[in-house]
Amino acid sequence: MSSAEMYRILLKRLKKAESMTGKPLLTYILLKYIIPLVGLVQGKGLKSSLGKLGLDVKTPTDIKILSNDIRMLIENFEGLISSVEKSEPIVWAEWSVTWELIRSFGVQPVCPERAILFGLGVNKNYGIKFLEESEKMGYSNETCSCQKGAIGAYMLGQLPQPALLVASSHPCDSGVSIYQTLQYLTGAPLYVLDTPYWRTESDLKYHAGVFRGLIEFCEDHLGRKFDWDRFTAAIEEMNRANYYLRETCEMGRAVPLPYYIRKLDAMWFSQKESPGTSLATQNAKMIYDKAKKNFDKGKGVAKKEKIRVIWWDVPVGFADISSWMTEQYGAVVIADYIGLHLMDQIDTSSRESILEGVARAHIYHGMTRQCHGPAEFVTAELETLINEYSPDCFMFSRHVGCKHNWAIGKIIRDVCRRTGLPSLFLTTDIFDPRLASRQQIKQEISEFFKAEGLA
Amino acid sequence: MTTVFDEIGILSAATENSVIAEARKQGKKIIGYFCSYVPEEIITAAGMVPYRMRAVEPHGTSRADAYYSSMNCTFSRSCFDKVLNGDFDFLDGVIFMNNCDHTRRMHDNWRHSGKGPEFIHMLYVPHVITSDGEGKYREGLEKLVRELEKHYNVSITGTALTEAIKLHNKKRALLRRINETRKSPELPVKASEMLRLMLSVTAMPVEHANSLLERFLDALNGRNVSEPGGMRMMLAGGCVEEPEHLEMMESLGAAIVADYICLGSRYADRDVAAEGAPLSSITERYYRHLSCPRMMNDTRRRFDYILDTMKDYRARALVAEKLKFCMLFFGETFLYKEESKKHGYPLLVLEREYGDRTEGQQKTRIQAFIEQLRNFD
Repeated sequence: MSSAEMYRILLKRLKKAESMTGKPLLTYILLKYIIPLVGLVQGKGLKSSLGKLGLDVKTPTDIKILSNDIRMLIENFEGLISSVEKSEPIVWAEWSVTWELIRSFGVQPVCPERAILFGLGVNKNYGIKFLEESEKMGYSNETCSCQKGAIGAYMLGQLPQPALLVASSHPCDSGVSIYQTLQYLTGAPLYVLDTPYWRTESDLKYHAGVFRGLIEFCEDHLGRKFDWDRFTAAIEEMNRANYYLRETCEMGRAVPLPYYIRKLDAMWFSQKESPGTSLATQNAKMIYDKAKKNFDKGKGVAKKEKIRVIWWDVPVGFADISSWMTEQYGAVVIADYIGLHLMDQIDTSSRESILEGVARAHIYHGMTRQCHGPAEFVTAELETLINEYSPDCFMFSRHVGCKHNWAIGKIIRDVCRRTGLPSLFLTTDIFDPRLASRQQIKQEISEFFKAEGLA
Repeated sequence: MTTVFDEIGILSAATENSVIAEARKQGKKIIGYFCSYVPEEIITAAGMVPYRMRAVEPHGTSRADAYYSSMNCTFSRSCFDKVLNGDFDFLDGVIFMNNCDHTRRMHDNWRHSGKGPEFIHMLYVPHVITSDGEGKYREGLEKLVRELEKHYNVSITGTALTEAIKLHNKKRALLRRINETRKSPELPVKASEMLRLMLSVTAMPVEHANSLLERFLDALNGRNVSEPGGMRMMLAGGCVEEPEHLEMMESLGAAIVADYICLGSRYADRDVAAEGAPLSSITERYYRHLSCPRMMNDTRRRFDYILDTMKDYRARALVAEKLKFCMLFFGETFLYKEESKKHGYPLLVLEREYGDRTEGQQKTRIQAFIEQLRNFD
């Protein structure tokens, strides 16, 4: 593997995909009528390539959303490759750290945890090599594949040398541990966004100070001035996107469900890696508009909605389980850890208010929100979903890396039992199909639906 | 005649030892706590007895497994199993901190189980050492003081804190002196005995602990427990609280002369400054003492401590241990491998379960490691 080869391979593919999705209506006609006729639906061709991005492509609007997603990735990949070629600094940002602050230094961030997902995007074996490389070095199965993948990708030259590392102290011990390892291996300075356990005003003030510290740290180490105007503009744009996302999630109470969770999951990445861009906002608005239209008409995304699912933890990254559930069983996922957007609007009237808002946003970002504090942060969200979103069942994917989630099995089970909600506790690794394959996961879900009389 | 070594053998083996039971009879409240970031001084100043949580006398994990899972560490599960079994019913309160994903969830599980006591507190400790973080930690300690005062209707005064600091500084100083004796070529104390001592003195009133430590130090005078050909080693890791495990290592020829474990020299790392506002001094000491891998920006200092200690105590090799599923010590032991290559010291990394459920495997590996070291000599 040559330096950042993975990003170059994917960039080429993305550009091809962009050329195919650039005219949404034409692509729609191709997908719906032409491609099935020539037998390219399964395994190969455009639909398969698009499917790997994990998005539902059913209407011209879906294709436009996908096209924007592709463009955002292209811009990030081009920025990364250009930074490598020009020896510009690159900042590694842990995946709960949004990029708007780092971008305001005019530098390119990269998310090390995403390397495994991109590796799997090249092909399954390519991504698995990252995991195997870290396992060869001594990392075990019990370690989070996202972080194992980051180490493997770096050792194989697929993650460019960082100038700085920015990590968060939550959601998990794996992150706490792995960033010390990454710092040791790369030799780059590490800044830690220490995330409070509680959410009092004092905690938020402390956390805002931590973000202020990040600005100073980057200024010192990058030798660049922070661009407050650029940052403020990005936050204002993020606010617009977050408004649409939050409003969309509010509509999840409706039966039938007016949105696809996968699109909201994808927005978790867009809001992190392309925050404050007009493309991210456009996508948020299109998702909202489509959901609103459905909502107003009382129409759902499933042809015939039969089962409403709360998917707990992060979705499986190597297989589109939610789309399969919809197609196979008329089951819709109403929420998961990252697809439920609950971000408040950030007050941009002063630098102080911006930092406080950014700190709050970090704490309320999906995954950090559920994992940084006591179990009540998990159960309160779960109970709201149970009481207000009319679920028929609960599925806990239990990503092997999330030991804190594994540690509260009974608490979660008791919430389900008390509310009479059938529950399924899976064992998965979101990016490592070797632990539980797509087929195994599907089989368990199928059996669960049948056993509970849901299908 | 019962020696101090027999005494610590009995004290360390019990969940509720006779000294704690006696303190309770005298009306003292016993406060359990997890981890070295919870200042014992505050509990002592409140007129109560700090009790370091442990899982000695384990019953397995079956009850706790209903709450936890097979993906969680066996220390947390064993300890929580004891909670569910009523072994800790003698506690009047428990103080947690957000040390790791497994133990912090015990704070949730304990409350969810409905097993007493009423006072179950979570102290938030930042994951970095910074000046802002120190302020935040201090805020957490102030909250702990307020809540102890309110719940138990006591007053934790500056004078009481100063007095407690003196007592606990004395305890740490005595422990450091005892540890220093292990530098000698003629080893006066075994690591298994040190662990029994630590288990004893972290589960009794500090005054009693200090008297025990003084007697222990006296008993080391002229004592030599070195075995011929004993291999001087340092032990690093997190939760190691089974003296039998260390005895097994000793029986194979390991002479563990220094350590970096939770219940070891890290506990006595440095004193609380006697001058200044007592809570500020406590904050400074506990926040900045020799960290564990939960602290994300202190890795180099920990590695340097190991290097320096191995040199000071003339340890020939490092044995690093981690419990299965402990991510924090997984990363740390992974980096020990890099460090050992860089600095050229022999290293054995052991992954094990709490309660020595894998003793046979451990034995083989330790034996082979010691043989390897001997072959190199």
